[in-house]
Amino acid sequence: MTDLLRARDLTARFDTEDGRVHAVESVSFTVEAGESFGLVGESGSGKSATALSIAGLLPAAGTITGGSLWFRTPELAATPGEHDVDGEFVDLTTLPANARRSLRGTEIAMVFQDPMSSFDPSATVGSQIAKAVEVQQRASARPRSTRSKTETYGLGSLIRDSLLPTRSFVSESSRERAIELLERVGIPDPARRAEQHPTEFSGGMLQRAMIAQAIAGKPRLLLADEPTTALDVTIQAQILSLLNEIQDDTGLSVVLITHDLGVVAHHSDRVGVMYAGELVERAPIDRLFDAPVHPYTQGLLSAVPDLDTTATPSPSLSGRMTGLHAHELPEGCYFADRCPQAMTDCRAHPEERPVAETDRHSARCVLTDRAFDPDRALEPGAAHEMERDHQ
Amino acid sequence: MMFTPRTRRALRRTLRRQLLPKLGVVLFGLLVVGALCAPLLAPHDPTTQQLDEKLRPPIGFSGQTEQTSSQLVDGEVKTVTETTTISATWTHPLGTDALGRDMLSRVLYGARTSLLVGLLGTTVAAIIGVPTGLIAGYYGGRIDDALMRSGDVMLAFPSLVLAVALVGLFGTATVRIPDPWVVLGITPAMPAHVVLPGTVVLVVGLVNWVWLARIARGEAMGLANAPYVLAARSVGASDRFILRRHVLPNALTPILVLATIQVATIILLESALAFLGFTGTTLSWGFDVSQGRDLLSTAWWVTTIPGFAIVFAVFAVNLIGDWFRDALDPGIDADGGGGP
Ligand SMILES: Nc1ncnc2c1ncn2[C@@H]1O[C@H](COP(=O)(O)OP(=O)(O)OP(=O)(O)O)[C@@H](O)[C@H]1O
Ligand code: SF4
Ligand SMILES: [Mg+2]
Repeated sequence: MTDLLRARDLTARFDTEDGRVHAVESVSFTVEAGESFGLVGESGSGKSATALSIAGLLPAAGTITGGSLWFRTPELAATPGEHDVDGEFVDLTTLPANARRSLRGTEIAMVFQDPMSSFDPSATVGSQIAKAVEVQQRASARPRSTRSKTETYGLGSLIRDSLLPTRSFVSESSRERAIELLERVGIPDPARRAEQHPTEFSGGMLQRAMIAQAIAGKPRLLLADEPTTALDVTIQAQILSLLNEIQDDTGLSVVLITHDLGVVAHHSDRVGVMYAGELVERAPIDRLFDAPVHPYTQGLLSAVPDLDTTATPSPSLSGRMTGLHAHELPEGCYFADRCPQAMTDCRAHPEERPVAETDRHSARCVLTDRAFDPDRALEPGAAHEMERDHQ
Repeated sequence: MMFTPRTRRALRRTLRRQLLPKLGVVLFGLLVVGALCAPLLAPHDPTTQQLDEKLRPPIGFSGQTEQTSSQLVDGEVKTVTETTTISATWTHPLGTDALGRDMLSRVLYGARTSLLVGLLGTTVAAIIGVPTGLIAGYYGGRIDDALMRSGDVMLAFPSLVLAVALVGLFGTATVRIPDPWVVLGITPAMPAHVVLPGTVVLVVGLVNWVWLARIARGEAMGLANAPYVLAARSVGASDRFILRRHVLPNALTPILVLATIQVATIILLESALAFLGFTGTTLSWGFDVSQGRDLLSTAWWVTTIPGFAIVFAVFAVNLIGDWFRDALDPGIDADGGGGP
């Protein structure tokens, strides 16, 4: 299978008043064309920051400070420019802002956690999806630019709209396409629904509409950031199977972000586990469940009640994840203070290493090449104290 | 229109339930009708001087004025008190000024100037202020600093100094708009034109845009981080598109409320500028107040009546503004925006 996205040592930081937050720390993974890559980890582990980095949507405080994001886009790779090119791949982090924008919607789209707040309450759902359709049409008519000739968004039109705010802005054909898309995602009576405001939709229906908006531009990569967390359990399953169905139809690749390993088990081909900004383990789904290496992954698995795993049962996770400010991060393994298998070896920060002979399974843990040795075990909490002594 | 159906419902509900909005609508309606239909309602040409009719009091205020003067009679200085009776007449229900011009007609025609300057001045302020504020709030950072600092400089500049400077530069820049009633031949040409004081409109706009910019900025700052703005960006929407289609509509309600109140502020400012003679038209309440200044002890109505008209207009507009504010409070109205 061909690769679609190769993240290599992706590093992103947030600048806050209390210092820099190491939200994404040297993360590497590959998403193949048509596959579903699961990204799991607890709250604050950097899953959203990773997805936003890929989409180029980090908030003003956030920046990608290192690494590269190789995305396969032959047309753009053939276009001369300042950006780095490797064969058919372009490094997204080197693209200028307008080129990144022209990729959004048409190549890379995103679905967010809370459908209720992801639609503008002041506009109809149909018009918002139609807008996404227009972006795609404009981008395909003139790659690298999404400005249309008929419609300008300049200061003049902003002034005009301040006085006459409701001018129609989407063409009839985009409106019809929006209705088609709503039908595609299983919304009954789509023509009527398109004219309704988001407040008249249920959460599940809105998440379907959100997916319709995301696929309007026929993207090749969909970043689904906890798409079902805000929904009822029964609806969650429907949304996930809708995603699967669309994936089968269109060959879309999906990065499915969740903190629920159960979701990943049913819907992902491969999984990455994130902890404290790092990708601590990465494996095909079966391997991850059969032979997890990282104690954090083991802990996550044992916390999933209805999965039969052959993994050695380990006590479920206690304690809290380290803070991500530069001064809070320990010298050694970030997981050491919670790790039941922490050893003296863990005082040095572990590198990401392949597990056994496969290159498809890797972990950032000393246990990749040695077994736990009780003689060298750190007392629980010792890693933490070691860190404090160190300062 | 500018409001969503939900907002319109909220407006109607408040109008139905509360007394003051009703009063505001009635008073503001009177003001608008008076201004629009001035040529039909005015009993006289507001600019015609009738010196033999001068200083007539309003109906109900007929009275005697005592005029004391010293005269030299047979080598002696004597004080002579003359009592003159001045009676009100229905020809001039609100009396006349020192040149015998009909006060009622002047009040009606003055409403045109006040309303026109109030509305156009607010429009100028909105044209400058709303995009400035939206852009400043949406982008933040240095763009925000630069735009809002320029606004602060503007505020630090006294409006009168600005008026003097601009009148010096451009003159009064009056625009004479033909009166439609006269053009259509419905009424005789009393004044055949409505005189729009161009420089004054510019001055009031320049003085007041900062307030609109500030409120637009505050709204845009919140909305820039709204999840739906992120969602729009995730499908490739440009900043300009987002400003137009997502930020502006959701910021509109508080901007409109403030703009309404600005109309009142601007009417007051116009009166002040007219009082000082900057408007280039004499058909203005502020100008009339200034004319009556020296007559306060003898003919109070020459100042009081246009003064009352100013108060009336400001009161009416403020009632409308309060109605909008009560009805559109973002806390109550989920549709009205506000953001997270
Ligand atoms: N705008 C921001 N400014 C500063 N820090 C941020 C910002 N957004 C996220 N962070 C920090 O970056 C880290 C990673 O956050 P991120 O949102 O990626 O976590 P997550 O894995 O998506 O968690 P969740 O499951 O809660 O969504 C967190 O420590 C968070 O506090
Ligand atoms: S490196 Fe050491 S402390 Fe970290 S997870 Fe592996 S065993 Fe535990
Ligand atoms: Mg998240």
